[in-house]
Amino acid sequence: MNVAVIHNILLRLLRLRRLIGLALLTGMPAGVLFFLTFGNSEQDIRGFYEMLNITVLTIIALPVTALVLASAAFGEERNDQTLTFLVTKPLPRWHIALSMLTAATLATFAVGGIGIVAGWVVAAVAVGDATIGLNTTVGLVVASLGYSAVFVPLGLLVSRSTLTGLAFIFIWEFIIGASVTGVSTFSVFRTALSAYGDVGTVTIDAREALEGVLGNVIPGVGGAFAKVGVLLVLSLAFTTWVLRRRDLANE
Amino acid sequence: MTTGAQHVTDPTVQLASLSKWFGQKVAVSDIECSFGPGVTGLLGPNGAGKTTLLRLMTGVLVPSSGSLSIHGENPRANPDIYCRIGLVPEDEAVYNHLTARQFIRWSADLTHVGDAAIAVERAIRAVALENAADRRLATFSKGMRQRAKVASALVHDPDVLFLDEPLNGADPVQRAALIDLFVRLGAEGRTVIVSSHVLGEVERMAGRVIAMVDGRLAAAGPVAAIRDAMSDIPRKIRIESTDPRALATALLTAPFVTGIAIEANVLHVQSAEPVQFAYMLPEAARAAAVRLTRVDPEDDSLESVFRYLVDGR
Repeated sequence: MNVAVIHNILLRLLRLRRLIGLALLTGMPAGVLFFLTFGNSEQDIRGFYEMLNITVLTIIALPVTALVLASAAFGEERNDQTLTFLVTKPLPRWHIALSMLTAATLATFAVGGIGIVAGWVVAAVAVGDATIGLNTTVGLVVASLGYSAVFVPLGLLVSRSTLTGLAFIFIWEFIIGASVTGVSTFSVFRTALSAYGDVGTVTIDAREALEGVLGNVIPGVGGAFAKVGVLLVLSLAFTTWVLRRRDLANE
Repeated sequence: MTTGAQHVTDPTVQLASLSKWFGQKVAVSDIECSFGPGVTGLLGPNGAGKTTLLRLMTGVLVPSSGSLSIHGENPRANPDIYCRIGLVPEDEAVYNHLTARQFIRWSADLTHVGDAAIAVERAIRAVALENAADRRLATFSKGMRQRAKVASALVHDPDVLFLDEPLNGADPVQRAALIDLFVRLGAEGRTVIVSSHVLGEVERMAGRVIAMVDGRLAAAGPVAAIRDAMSDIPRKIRIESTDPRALATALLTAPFVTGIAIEANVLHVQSAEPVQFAYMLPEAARAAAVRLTRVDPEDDSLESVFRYLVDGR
């Protein structure tokens, strides 16, 4: 891992315009929640908060945020032709791969964190529970790690990585993951939600929604981290292999 | 054709039967040559395979067959060798969100330069970017970006430099300064490999050329030696004299002469045996009572040699 590479890639990934766009996306549930705090009971607000976290934040906003940031880690190096600069430096290829994975994870966590902190503050003030955002934060960590493991190598391999990543989210995660038994175990947002459901209490309505999404995936923080850990190791090995064995410039 | 001079006696970069193809297209075919200290020009028309060859040599592309080494190491297998390599790619390849100084500093940090601050200043001075060093690269002209890339390639004091069209976008003053810099680096004993299609510039900086045509090595060696090796193509000689017509008449029946033309009072002679012709010419002129005022080879220039290689004319 190379701190200089991570720092520079973070600077590149967190460009102001992109940061604002993604912060608005991840902050949208907090905005909706803010309006729902008026005229509703504490119990209802807690329910709205959890439903927004499960259905909007974890299933849509975080995957898209991770896709944009993680696929850009290598994708922008390819498009701007700066990958040549990086791979002709005396860095072991696995250092480059690990640095990219780290930068993408940190960027996703930071941008996703903006929305989560916003929602956490709104919910905490409304219901008077300062720990209310803890499970969402754990879910964010799992999602950041898992999606970075998928989308970082995608950005290296595919020129239209954002489109390909969207196809992955909607076809693999949404359609196949929901309809084919066993596939849901390998779904990243379900893994993140399995961690979410295992931390703190969840309202009955949110629990039903969570179980509906999870299917046969058993909630558990340890299992979720173990899964993304394996995914990260595989991703690191594959990305390193590509950097070592494949052409790193076009014809 | 090759001249047998594709290898040098003290190679730092060696290519053995190196080939690269993309699908059905052969970009580089069976290149066998070596590079040593000094400036070597890598010549070829667009699409000849120069950039592909440089990318292969620097480990950016994987050879389809054959092998290469820099100081005995394959850069893909041993990235540490990049401490001794500087690359100026043809691509834009700069981080537009950084200033030139940050970009060069980053390059210094990644190549483990000891006193990076001093090395960065030295590299900036070498390419005369002092006044723009703190501007973001996004605001640079193409020529300035080229200079920033050169500085980034030089900051760790490499002994092997790969420069892919490094003068692109540079204005005439910048070009002259960069050519002087490359010549100086070559004279210091570094291996400098410069790809270019601007023949005049290569001629000014390179003592040796490797010419590529259609992905193949067409010729290698000093320009004059390559021309000498083209024994099947008559040499062209330009002769100015007090009476070109009389001299032409005298040369018509002379041995070693394969063609004569007069244009604007200047005699153009073709000879398959230029050395013999050089001995014979003064005698022929004396016999015709003609005074020779100037005699020049017409096709010893890199451009002529290159034209022969590419077009066969």
